[in-house]
Amino acid sequence: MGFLWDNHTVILDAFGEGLILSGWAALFALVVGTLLAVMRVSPVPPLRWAGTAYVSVLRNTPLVLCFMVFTSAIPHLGFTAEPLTWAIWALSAYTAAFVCEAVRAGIKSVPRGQAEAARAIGMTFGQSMRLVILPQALRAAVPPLGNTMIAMWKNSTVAAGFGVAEGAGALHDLLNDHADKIWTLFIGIAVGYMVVVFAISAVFRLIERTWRYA
Amino acid sequence: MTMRTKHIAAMTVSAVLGAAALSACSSAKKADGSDGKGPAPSVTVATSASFPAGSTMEKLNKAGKITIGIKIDQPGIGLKDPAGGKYTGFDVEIGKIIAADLGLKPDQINFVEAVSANRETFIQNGTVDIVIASYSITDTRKQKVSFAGPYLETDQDLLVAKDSKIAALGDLAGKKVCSAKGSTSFKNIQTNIPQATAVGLDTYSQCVDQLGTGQVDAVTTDGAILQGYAAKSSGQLKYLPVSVNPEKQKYGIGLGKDDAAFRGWLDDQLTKAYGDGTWAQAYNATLGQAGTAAPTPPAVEKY
Amino acid sequence: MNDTDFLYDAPGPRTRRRILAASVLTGLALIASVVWIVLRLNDRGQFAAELWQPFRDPSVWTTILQGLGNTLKAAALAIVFAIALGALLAAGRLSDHKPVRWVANVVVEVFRAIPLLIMMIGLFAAFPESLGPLWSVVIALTVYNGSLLSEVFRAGVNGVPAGQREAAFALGLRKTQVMTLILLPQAIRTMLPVIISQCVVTLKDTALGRIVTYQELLLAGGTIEVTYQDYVPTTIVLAAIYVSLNMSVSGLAQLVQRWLSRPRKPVPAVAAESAA
Repeated sequence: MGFLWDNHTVILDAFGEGLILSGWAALFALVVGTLLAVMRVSPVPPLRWAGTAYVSVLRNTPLVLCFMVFTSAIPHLGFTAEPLTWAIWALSAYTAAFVCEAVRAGIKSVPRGQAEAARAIGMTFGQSMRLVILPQALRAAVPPLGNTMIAMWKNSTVAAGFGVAEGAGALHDLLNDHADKIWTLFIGIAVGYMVVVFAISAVFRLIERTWRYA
Repeated sequence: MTMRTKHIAAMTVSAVLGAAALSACSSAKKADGSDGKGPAPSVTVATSASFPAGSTMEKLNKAGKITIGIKIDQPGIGLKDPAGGKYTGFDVEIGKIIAADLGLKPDQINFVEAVSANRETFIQNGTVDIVIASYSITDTRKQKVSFAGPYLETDQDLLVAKDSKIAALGDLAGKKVCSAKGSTSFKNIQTNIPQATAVGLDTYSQCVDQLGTGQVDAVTTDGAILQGYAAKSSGQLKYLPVSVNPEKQKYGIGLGKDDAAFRGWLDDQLTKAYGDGTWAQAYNATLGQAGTAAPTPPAVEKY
Repeated sequence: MNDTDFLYDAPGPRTRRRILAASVLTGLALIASVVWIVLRLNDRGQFAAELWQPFRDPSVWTTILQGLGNTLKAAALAIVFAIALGALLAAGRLSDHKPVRWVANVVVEVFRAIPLLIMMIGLFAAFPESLGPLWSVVIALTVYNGSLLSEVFRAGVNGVPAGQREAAFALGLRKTQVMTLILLPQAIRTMLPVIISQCVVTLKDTALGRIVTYQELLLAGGTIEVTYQDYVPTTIVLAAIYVSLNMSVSGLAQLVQRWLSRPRKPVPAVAAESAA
């Protein structure tokens, strides 16, 4: 414990960086993922194809490779950015595919009558989506979205290899100097990740409970 | 333990198969930037070598084969060409010199990939006879293996783009300096050049790639490794010997612990290579391609 | 044509014209962005013949295939062990004894919450000599996927209608017999597709092994990049390999699902955790 306390600034800074990364990525992934889900159920075929193609490619690509595309391949096309920015892009792009799947399953779970009633009172596709379907779909999607967000938080460790000094990076760096403290370090940092995982799942359970009676 | 040994054996077999096309001479090939520019180093195979009975040298000479652990991903030091599986670099040339002194031709060398984490294990369990893999001599490692040499001394330097304005450590304020996550070099950025921003990536190759695309301003690690990348870049990258950390890294040949006769013999062969110019030839053909002249070789440390 | 077409009416002539117009517009926008990317790649010389030259060399493919072989090896070992561990943990969680259930639940919660990368780095650092890269990767993947699969197995067994279990007990079968003869054969139908799609997750996650120097496909690609400085072409080739490999496995999962659920009434589906 003493050892962890001696290095608590390094470790806490790292977790802070990881939370900043995951926070932004969560925001973008939820927005983009929902848009993708709407594209995939829209009546316009090219939008459906594009959404399907995006999800198939991203879901079947390892996250490390997704990071390599952003930090290595895209810079070769003449774009540069900070490591944290690329990491947010990579993690959002990857997670959006899983958000899309969760939201789409939610849309499918909305009873047909809801959409039919919305049309019967003259709503357009956009209106019925925005006012009737998505609010119910998102409520149904809360538990899987919670799992997706937990997976994303754990996935943010991959950014350690791409210039973002977060938790896994702190573990790697501290191990270099204190190989003998491996168990203390491993357990300390693993517990740190678990605390955040349980916090995310508590937040999503709360949302689920609040929305059920909304 | 058994499982791991089996695994290493399997890996070794695949590495050997991959290296089967190892060619006998170091002929020029375009894929490898360091070849075909300098004079191709040539080694004379000791045809009538004789060794004390029971020595490791005699054993290897009789076996007609030596297994050497090298790095396969460090340009200029130890690099495996994915096409043809040919190995190039300074460590490879040193290996050829040692093999020649044992009466072995280059095609009798079995190069095996050794990564930093498994070098001691490979020596201890006999997977390799010797390790020549940018292997720094340290007291901790000496508790497990013995070292001949050093055959190269280097300290931590910088690599920058050819038109970079960075020429000294003082120019690094606010600049992004890259090194491998978890390495000593990475830690030295934070302690020795705190005015710079440290960027840690998984591998040095990634750092060099990001230097090429302008995402970082400099790369730092052992000078020899940086020289290798500079040599490979055909003039796009510049090696700056500015000593981010002046402490010398001494690359040695790793061998079984307490094989004093073999160690002494290896030391003698290195000294001979310093004297007859083969060491300088090896240097010029590999690391020297970065534009640096062959330095004075480090004195071998007998212990 | 689409399982979500209840969201809109069968289009009339006017709507059909509007959809057509929207299709043409979005189609053009998509084509334009693809063209832009291709032009940009071309501008930056990424289609230059010498950058792609290495991929015409069969021995470069030997390097790639070796990496792919290591990727498949780690994934195969991990999935086999994970199924075994998952079954064990599921048995523990379904046990009649409270302490056993409790221990199994804690193990599952803990291993599900630890990031794989942390696990790999930790294992590799703690046992550098006895594990080495391969087993650090395999063990980390095994405990993580085993925990996930235990949930799949448990839900699968619990998803079998209660009448089946009651009828079996009424016939005088013992606990183990009920499980192996009645519950598992029915549960496997819902579990199999999830197990197969978990293979995709495992295949992708082997890529994390490069942090502990496991020579998988991405690291093999790294040696090609460092030799030929062809970062964009290599990334494209690697992505193509991963995507086609994983899509075939996903396709297999769908086929199996369709085949299993065709003749009989479907058992409540088990949700795969779309993790890592």
